[in-house]
Amino acid sequence: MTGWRHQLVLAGRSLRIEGNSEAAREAVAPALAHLQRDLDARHAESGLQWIVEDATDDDRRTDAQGVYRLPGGGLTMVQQDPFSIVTFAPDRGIRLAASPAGFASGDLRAHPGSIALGAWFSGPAAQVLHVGAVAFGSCGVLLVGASGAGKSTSVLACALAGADFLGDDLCLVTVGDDPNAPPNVHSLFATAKLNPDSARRLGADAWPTLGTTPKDKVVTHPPPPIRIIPSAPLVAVVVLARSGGGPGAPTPLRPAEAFGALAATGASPCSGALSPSLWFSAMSRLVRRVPAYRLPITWDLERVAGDIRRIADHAARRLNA
Amino acid sequence: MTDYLIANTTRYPHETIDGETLLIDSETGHLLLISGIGPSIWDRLVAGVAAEPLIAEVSVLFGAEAGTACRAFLDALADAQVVVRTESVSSPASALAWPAAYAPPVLERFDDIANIIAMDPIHDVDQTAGWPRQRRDAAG
Repeated sequence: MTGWRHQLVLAGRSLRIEGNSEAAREAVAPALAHLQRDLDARHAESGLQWIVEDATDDDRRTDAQGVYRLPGGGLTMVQQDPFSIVTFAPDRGIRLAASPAGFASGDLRAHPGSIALGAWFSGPAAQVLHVGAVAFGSCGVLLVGASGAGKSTSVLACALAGADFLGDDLCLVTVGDDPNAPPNVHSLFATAKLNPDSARRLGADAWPTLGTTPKDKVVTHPPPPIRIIPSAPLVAVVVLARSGGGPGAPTPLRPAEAFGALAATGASPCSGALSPSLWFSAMSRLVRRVPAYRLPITWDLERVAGDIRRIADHAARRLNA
Repeated sequence: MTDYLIANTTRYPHETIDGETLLIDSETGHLLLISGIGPSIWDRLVAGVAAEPLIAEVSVLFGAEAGTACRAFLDALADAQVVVRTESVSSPASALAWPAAYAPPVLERFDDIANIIAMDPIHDVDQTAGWPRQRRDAAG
């Protein structure tokens, strides 16, 4: 058995992750490589424990698939073909177990343990959202859109134009009690999922590949000079829309419109299903504090990145006025 | 006996932002949006209000058609169980901040989060069979 262990910090919380095999380490290490090491000795035996290990015969006896609520506020998600099981129990932490094929799957490598992390963080002031995020300087921007709307492509276009990368598909947003304090966006995974067309246009064909998803998206780890940062204050929400014609100018959205867009595409299954009320509380705080814009996008990726940078600058000036 | 209506805020957490009221059905995930003069009516409903005097007040302020729209709006809220009927309210309703211009009260319902829940529901576990085994009465 090849044992390994890391003490990490995720959104200010300590996470002790350990595994029992090289396959387990290879499955999760690239996605979590950007997280800061927790060097505080006081946390050495504290924080949430996350075990990553090879699936046992007992794990694989189940033929179930889906998400199950556990006594005590936890949940477990079972996937088949390839097999993986992830469990979050508030008193025990996270356990992710998979078959060799499960550990090699693109979806698991892109977002290992995402549903458990979503359950761990879910509350009235924090939610894992189905959004992308970048930061220009210290100005974080959430990119909202349905699957296929261009989140990953827009995030990486911004990152190649000098923005910091926070995530292309799942990010944690925290919105504290102080109404004058900005919300923050936190990077969960240092991975991106790209369809072949986007990869070619971004020049990402040669980036390190971690796997392929069932939708034939390539899972990649964005290499330097792209900089992956753990957190940034949020200044704007940008709802991406496919342009019907040529490029279009960004237009401001009412808070209710931003809320509707987040409800339509930004809710992860876990956050909504665990408690719609908690999701509602966090999202209403978010749209109350951060301006939102609708941005029509085209394949002119330089323009997309420029538009998002201008939105970030404009929103930051508005918030600081 | 006066017929009072009161918002079911236990089931429907709510926020009014920039003149629009957002609510979520905490049981199903359905998202509701109230606009027009609806948020001003909603303010009264949170405290509890007698329906007929409220409708009369809206009619005086904005005309008979607005009163009819207010009645339909209250009926829609009651049908959706967003408000419930009660025989009394514990505190008097605060004064309404009516908008200067009239726009009909509108209740819209969005199914996105509810669909997400329905698409990938969280199953309750059979406590006797261990997990993950779906409870028999919840299966299917």
